[in-house]
Amino acid sequence: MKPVTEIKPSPEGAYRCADTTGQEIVQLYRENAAGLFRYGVVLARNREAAQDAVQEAFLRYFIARNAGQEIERPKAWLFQVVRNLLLDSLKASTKRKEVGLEAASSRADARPDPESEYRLTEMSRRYWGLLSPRELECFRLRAEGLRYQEIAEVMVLRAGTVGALLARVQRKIREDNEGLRRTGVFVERELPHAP
Amino acid sequence: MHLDAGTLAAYGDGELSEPAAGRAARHLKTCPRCAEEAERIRGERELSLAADALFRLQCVPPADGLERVRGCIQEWLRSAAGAGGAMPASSAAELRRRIGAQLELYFGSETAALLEKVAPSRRPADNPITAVEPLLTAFLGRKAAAAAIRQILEEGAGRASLAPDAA
Repeated sequence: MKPVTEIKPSPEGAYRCADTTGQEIVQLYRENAAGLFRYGVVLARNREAAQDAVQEAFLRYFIARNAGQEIERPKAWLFQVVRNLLLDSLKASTKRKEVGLEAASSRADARPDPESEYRLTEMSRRYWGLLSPRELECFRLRAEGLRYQEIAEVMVLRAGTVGALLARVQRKIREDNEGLRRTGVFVERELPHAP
Repeated sequence: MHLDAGTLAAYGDGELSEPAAGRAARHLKTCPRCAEEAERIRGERELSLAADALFRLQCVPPADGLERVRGCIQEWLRSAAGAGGAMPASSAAELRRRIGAQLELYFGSETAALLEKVAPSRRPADNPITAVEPLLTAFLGRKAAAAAIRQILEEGAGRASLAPDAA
């Protein structure tokens, strides 16, 4: 096929200048990369896998936009792509068995990647013991600023389920916190009159 | 009739749709039990976000992340331009990616991920288009499917010209 030497507009004038798309990527990266990375870490429990997925998601965004595709809510789109990428690789690593995210992540958890495991934080270990993968994911998305409707789309849930999941997560965190206070370093200060 | 925890959480987050939010507000004015529950949920949300702040501090992406993304994009543009036309030489994966984007557009990402996996394995790996063509035709009709496939193929042609070293 003959090489094309000019920017070729689609019938709708869809092809964009790569520079414009590049600037858009930089802006989106600054706003969302950290949140996408945290989300990836929660899903994959592995920093390298999370970072690869974030990188790939931005590349795909570039490709889609450059081809003229309109992306209505870029933030939710990027979270969705990161999820699909990680879900696919988790599924592939469980020998092509059809497993849900829940099964896939608890499997991943059972065999932690030794290279990245030591880098996982104290706080995340605590969360992961406390919350189910679905609860963790929902809470992460909300903490990263997604609206309920967007969370529902990314996780393929009913929007009505999101509030219930979040309420449960928040209750568990509060109870855990109270448990810490009862049994941990806070005891003396919090319960000065305890026998 | 009391409001459930999910509804109270959604109300507190400003995520209830207009009629439901109005109903919840009226109910909370007259029901001390639900008002107390709403207050408890608000406190729990603040506490969990405070707990999350620690995770945010500890979980930070690599500093050169944006550079890596730029590198990926440059590499991809080069590979598109290197083939000098619509179909980069290393095109099987790239073609599947474009097909994936189209499938995602029409079928939603969940289904598309499944289709992407299934479709190419049924046909010779070197031409994934023949595998998705029947799917697109069944779903979109012949004309629109042809347009979608044209977009998959032409995407490379349009992009190749955007690379700095394009002919």
